[in-house]
Amino acid sequence: MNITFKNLTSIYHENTPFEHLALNNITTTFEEGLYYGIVGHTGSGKSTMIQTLNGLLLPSLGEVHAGNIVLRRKSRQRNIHQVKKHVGMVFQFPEHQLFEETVLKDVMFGPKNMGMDQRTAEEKARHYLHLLNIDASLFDTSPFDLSGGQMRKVAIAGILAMEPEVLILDEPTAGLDPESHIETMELFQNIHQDMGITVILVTHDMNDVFQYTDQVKILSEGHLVKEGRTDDLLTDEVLLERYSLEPPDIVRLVHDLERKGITFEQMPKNVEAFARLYEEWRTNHAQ
Amino acid sequence: MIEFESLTYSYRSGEHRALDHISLSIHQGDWVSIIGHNGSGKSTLVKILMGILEDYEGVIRVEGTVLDDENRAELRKRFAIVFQNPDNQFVGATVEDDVAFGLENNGVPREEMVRRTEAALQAVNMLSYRDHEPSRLSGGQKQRVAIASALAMAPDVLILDEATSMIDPEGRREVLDILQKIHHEGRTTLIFITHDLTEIEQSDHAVIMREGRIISEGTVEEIYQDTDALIASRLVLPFHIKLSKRLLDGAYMSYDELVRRL
Repeated sequence: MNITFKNLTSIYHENTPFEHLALNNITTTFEEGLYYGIVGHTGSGKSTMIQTLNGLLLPSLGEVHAGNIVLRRKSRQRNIHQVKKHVGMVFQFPEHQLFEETVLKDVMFGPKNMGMDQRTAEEKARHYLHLLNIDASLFDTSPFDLSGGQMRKVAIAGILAMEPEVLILDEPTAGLDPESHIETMELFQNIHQDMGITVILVTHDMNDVFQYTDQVKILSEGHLVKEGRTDDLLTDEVLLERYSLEPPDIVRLVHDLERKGITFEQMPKNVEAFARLYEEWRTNHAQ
Repeated sequence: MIEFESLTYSYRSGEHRALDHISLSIHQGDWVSIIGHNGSGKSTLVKILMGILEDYEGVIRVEGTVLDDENRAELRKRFAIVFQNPDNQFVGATVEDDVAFGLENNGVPREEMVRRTEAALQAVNMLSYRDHEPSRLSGGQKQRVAIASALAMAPDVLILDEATSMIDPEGRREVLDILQKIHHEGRTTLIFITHDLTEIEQSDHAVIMREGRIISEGTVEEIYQDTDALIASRLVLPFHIKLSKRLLDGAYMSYDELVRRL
């Protein structure tokens, strides 16, 4: 399912002294099966964009096309519900939204709410809890007795159990320790690859955007100022500088080395790939 | 100076020790980072310092005085804390009110209150936001106001309990810059709790905690070299240190130094 914004404008507190243009005439498409990153400063419109993507906010002007459903300024609940069914959202600190008595019930809540029958919902819940390495012995315990990391996984399982076609991640690693950070990002990468679902990642972590996404959209003061391949945009120092975005660590280092005359034919994606390219360069340039 | 001597604490008697014989000296004016994962005991240590937990074993000395039931409330006034969540620490309707709140509570005369509030906001570069509503600030600005509220109380020790973990990279840099400034003035001891090794580079002394114990302690350089402790406590080295270890002799160096030597 593709999602397209057509001349979409979003205004907060319309016709009041607090009126604020959060998104300004945006036309863009999120194509099925790709991994997107949305970057930009706090206040650039990232949150508004993702809330509009899954029907939490309706456009003030323009349209959202999600598959063959169209959302406009005054769309009906039924249409909004259809979009929510297909577009899952993992909010910041999703574990704060756990509320059921048991882990299993919590994960079943979403699918049941989407109209799945009890048995199917339970099957889905068990399947996704298993996928996220939550041991079956924990299914009947209270989600509040779990560790923070496990709670977050249960909350994510609840979203996945609704089997969305598009998964939106809003700062999914905020407040996580470094190890859980990597684990969580790898998990989404696997879900993206194995299940083929579209992922839209909103984060301040440019290293994650560089490592995991295919495409990037850059927002600044409500405008979509640039979109394209991650490998093109995040290696463009001038562009990043213009929107006060930090280059990924690896990109910064590769560019600093270029200025010293050390050049590689490709841009490495992680520390190990960088180390190998560097050693190769050393070998080739040994006196 | 604050000294912990064999500090031990269990949340329920007989259960495993959240703190297990911690001994540590923190010198006045130093920036000390305490690093560790959730459950390592770092928050328990803070709670004891703030007087939230009381039934510990061992001794805490503040400037040579042993902390006890009699002097606890008085000595605690020398400590101030900034918490993790920038949204949970505001009471005032404006930035200025918020910083003045603690002073007013302590019966500070109005004139001095105004002076100290201004000085504290100046110290965190937030004076021009004095009339703003705290909830409308960015995460980094909120944490800077929280630091100002703490500084206004003129504490000897400022504790930052994962105060940078919930804000964006820009806000994090702002907060670290302010801390560096406070540190340079040399009056306030900083106890900085974190699990991010990229944030400890400015500190004089660092401690790695794991399962209630101190497993490594020393300068930042020494901590970066202690591979065993880093692996045991599942901490991730900063990017440039990782590369120095992988490609050079593993010596501690800054990013610029790495670029120069590659």
